[in-house]
Amino acid sequence: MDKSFASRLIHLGEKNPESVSRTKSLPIAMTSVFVFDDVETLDQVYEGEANGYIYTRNGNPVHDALAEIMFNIEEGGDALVYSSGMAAISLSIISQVKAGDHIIAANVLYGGSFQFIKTELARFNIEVTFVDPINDDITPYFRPNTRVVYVETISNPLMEVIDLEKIAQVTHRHGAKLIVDNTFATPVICQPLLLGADIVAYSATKYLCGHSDVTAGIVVADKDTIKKIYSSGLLYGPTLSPFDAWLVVRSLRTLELRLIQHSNNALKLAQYLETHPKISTVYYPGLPSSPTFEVAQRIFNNNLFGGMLSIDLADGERGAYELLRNLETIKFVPSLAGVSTSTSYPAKTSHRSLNEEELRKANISKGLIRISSGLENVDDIIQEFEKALAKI
Amino acid sequence: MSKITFPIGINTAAIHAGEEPDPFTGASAPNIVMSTTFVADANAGFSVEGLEEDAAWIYTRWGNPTIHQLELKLAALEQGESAIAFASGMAAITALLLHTLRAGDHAIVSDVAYAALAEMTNEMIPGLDISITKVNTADTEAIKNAIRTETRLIYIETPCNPLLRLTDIQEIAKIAHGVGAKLAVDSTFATPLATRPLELGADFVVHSLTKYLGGHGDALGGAIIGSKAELAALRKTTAIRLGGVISPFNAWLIIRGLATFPLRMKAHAENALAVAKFLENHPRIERVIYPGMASHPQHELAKRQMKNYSGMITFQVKNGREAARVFAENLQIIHYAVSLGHHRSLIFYLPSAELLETSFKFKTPEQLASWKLFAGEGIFRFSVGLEDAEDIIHDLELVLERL
Repeated sequence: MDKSFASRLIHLGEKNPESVSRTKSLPIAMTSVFVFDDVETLDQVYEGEANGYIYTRNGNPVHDALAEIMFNIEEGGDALVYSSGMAAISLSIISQVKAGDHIIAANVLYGGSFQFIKTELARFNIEVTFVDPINDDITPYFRPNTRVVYVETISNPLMEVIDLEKIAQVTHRHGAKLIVDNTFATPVICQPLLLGADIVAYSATKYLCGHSDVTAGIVVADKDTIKKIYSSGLLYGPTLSPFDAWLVVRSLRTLELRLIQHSNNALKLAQYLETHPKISTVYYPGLPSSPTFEVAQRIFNNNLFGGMLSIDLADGERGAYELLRNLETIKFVPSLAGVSTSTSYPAKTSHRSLNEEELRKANISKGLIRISSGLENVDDIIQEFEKALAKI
Repeated sequence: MSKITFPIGINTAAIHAGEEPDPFTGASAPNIVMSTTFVADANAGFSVEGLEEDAAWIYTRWGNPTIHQLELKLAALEQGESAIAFASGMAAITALLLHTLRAGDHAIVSDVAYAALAEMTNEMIPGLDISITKVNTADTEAIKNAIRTETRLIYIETPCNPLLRLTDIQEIAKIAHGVGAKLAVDSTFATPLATRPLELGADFVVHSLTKYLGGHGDALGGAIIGSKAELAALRKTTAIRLGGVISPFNAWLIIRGLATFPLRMKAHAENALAVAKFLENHPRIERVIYPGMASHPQHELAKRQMKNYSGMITFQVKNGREAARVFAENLQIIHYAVSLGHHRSLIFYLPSAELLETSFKFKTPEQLASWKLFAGEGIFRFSVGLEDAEDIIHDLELVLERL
């Protein structure tokens, strides 16, 4: 016996057995670090002369598998994966600006992004102008130091669709980059890079993962831009667990099937709720009553409009509270895009950090409920809303 | 989850049935309870004999909260009273056979079935003094003729692996119950979106969860679904004693797979039909078998018994063995691999001569004739995946040009 018991316990099984066949499913490379046989090889990998991995914060085979799927379906050059949507969003912006720069951002954004842009960027002397890019022309707000325009494909929670083609043209005319949070749409419904955007960011926690079990973020752009974001990400360190990356890869296998069902269900639910007397307004880009219906028809793929809709209760705050209480299997969950239908109350969740004034400006009323339509049989979803609304 | 007070559709059941938010944290997705044992109160029993149905969790081989959620979901999807999950499809089959059969008993088993079951019932089970008769279960007369006074079980697969030959569940259930035997149906190829054998009179449904129900080619699992009383007895004996327990992690992956199972099955069936039609019109293809096409010898039964024709097809070409080499070396999208029911397309060649030697040992010329009708000299078994149908067809087209 040439090695002690403990040494054998520690080292045996490390080397993959020799095999001419490969695992058919992607292995979960649950390792923080990678092994080198010599210094020369390490040098080659560091210098990018050889393909290899060093440390999982720098890269991991499962991250690469996930990134490969994403940049392909997004028609981009490369992609990066991170531990949350906020990591992906913040790094996308940070990689493009420095102290003294200016950015233009939509005035209605996911609460976390809004706060990041308003408070965190201000600490680094980066100025921001919030504008309504759907109803206003953003041209007058550009300054010589404007580097970034930041928008969401579908605004949260009012579900307005931004004309990405137009915004991209205006942005590029002023020498700035357009960053789009495409979380609500996904590449099944909208491919912002093909419409002129420079960077697409995702909370992969939502539809890309779609099973409410992983927190993750993804950025897609051209190769050079991704290189810049990569260097920032390396230092900030929001590394996605290889296990979570593997779960997102698994989820992407059914992304298109899920988005078709999410969209079909949302449309039918929206059509039903629009005729209900206890609902004053339904916000869904697939309804002809939506102010951005035509834009959505033009820039969305496959005549799909996504799984997210919002409703204003005629009874306002009281009606909203009661509806949330009355719904039985449809849960009040402050997230979205899972397999099961869920609701949220923007004034107290995603937009909680907004003050009364900001809420009013963003048109978010106290009677507004956001619905993430799931993959159930749509008749079951409608029946439950019918019962819950009847009790108000 | 609050109790759902109205009847729900299969998409809803696939997502909600059996699940409830974690009572302590409210976590919406099911927990992976990776614990072998549970802290018990002072009067908990040590033997499984006293295990009550509503007993607290004791030991994961007896029951586990994550596995339990999978079992409830499977029971709901098959409209059964109860389900037990296992480490693999074969663990489920073994537990079922050894629960229903004793020395001196007799069972009738499909003469063409999943090879591991076929081989198990060729030697291992007869070695326990249980006699087995293999018949073509599509042939009702053959089943009637095989019945003996000590027949306790009829075991069928529909569609059967690998032929995609169908068996009329209702018909066989009547025969089985007429002589006091039980009917078990392996419904792995059909899935509950297509067929619910319990509603047609079967006593047990068996699944390899590794296939369509898990659906992602990453977790092994099996299940038996049936009546509460039978499964409670089965759990205490062969399930717990033989120890083929599924990992809570795999149970969780399969629960996750089930959420999209109805969507996936619709897409599998649409793709399979498109591919089958393409193959049927291709000059190099001799024969295509798909239950969803009029050319399937039992298409009428398929229409009656299957609401979804699933994603499995078989086809024959001249010089199958040589063609298999060309396929394995040149396919770009479709993987040349065994197993089935994954999001990826998988294809594998099964030569008749070899299978009839190792797995299926026919006794009558009728049995051989039925095999030849479906399989000729050999078949490509094709598990059509969820890729774009045009791409699968393109991949096949390029390879067929090389033959």
